[in-house]
Amino acid sequence: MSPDVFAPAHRIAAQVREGDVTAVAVTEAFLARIAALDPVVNAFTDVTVERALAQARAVDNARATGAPLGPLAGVPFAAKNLFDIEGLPTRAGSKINRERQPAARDAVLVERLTAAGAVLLGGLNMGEYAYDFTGENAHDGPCRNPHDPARMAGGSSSGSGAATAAGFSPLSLGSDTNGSIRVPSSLCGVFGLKPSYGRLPRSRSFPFCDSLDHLGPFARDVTDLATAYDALQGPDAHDPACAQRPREPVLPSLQAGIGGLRIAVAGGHFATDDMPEAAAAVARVAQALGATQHVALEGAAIARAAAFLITNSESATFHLDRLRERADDFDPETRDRFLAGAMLPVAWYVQAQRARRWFHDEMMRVFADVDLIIAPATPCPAPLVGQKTLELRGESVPLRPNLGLFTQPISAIGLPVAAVPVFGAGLPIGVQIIAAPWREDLCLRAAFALQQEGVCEARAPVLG
Amino acid sequence: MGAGGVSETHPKTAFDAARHCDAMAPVLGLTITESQRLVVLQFLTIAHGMAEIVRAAPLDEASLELAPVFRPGAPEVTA
Repeated sequence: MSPDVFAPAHRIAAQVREGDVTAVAVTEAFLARIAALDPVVNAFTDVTVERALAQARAVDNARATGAPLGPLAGVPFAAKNLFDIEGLPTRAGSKINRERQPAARDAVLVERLTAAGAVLLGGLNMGEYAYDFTGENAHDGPCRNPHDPARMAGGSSSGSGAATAAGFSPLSLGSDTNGSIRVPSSLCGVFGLKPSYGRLPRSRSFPFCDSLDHLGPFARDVTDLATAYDALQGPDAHDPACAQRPREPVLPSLQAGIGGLRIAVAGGHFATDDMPEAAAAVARVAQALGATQHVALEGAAIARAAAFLITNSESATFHLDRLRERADDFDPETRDRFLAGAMLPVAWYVQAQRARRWFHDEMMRVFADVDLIIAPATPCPAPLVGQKTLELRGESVPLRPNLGLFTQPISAIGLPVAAVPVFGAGLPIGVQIIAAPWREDLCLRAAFALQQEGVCEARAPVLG
Repeated sequence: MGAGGVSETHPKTAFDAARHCDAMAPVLGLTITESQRLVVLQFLTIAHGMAEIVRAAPLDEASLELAPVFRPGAPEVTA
């Protein structure tokens, strides 16, 4: 049989396991699609052809000898280029970082997917140093939306969203500090999981903002997302923020349904006035999940402001030497924000951290009465590449910071979120399914139910 | 106070982004070129607005829990 690049990852793994197709044939099919169509999308910055074929051959050899195969045997995946990939400099979307020594070892999450049998296809485009919601990059070119290449993929995990949507890789890894998994998931129309802060170790990935950095998977299918997430879980001693929790697999409860769950729609800061696509998507998801109550989430705007200040201050301090010595080598769109961030008073930063804790405590009281919260992921579907402003509630505002309007307050306090795609008449747009800390299982149960009902799906784009 | 608003008990602080930039950049060893300056000042102004929002959070005066927690680890073992 010839491989179907839009088949779910778990089906590909089953076909490889059963001998219906070889891992090498699967890998070659994806590499051919990338070679043919990625010049349009620009999702990949590195395609690791030799490594991919060698890994695929190892999977086929293991099967031939009767060795046990992992749950993702022969499934291709790709990683945002801030994950260490052995033999490549970890560029993190920058020009400066490609002068770094090649990574001596894969990032821990790349190692875990590889251990599950997955085959790495390469590194993915991203906004410079992850300070981005658009997917534009002055060094590597904009990553384009597979559903309309004139439009943004969203960022900063632009290549992760685009490659997953385009049928270049059924699974991808990305990072999310203020929305960088959920924004590209929304704009590209795929599923994304931002786990609880501290759940997945960030060891051997290039940092952006230590207080807020999360890593997580993208997929076009919820079972795939859960399978990848389960393979990624587990403690690691080299990330001080890792909560060191044991694995808590979600696959066993994935099909448990939503019966008995108390589900509410977020209001206040998350209101979708004058955002017709976001409003329609939230309404469809709320109806499908039987959510009738609303929660105001007072304080979300404070949490967003806190996340803005923490991100701006920590990241700029991290890059201070680079800003002093090589400012001209930055992408101008990120450089000037970093330069401003370097000059923020410490009092602003400390107050932001205090406010973060305050909003966390407020939300823990909300979760006494609610299991899941529904909120829009982005204010709009994918804007045009190069667009600088956004019409938001009757006001023209800068596009870059405001694409994260709805994601930023949630990651500010580390809540787990599944971003689920809704296709209306035109472009896709995402909805956030938010749970209390450590309840990724509930986010994914709801996402699975929405997929089963046909409310949420990752449609294949027409490319080429 | 509405979510994100600035309360009456927290009047806005004065902030002159240009003077702040001129004072802080040399302290940090940063050179802000003319082509960068306009956008840098815009972002400083945005950050000040965010700081005003955060300053108005109804915090417990005894709260000082900064998120990054430092936990001393164990010595690495070399072969």
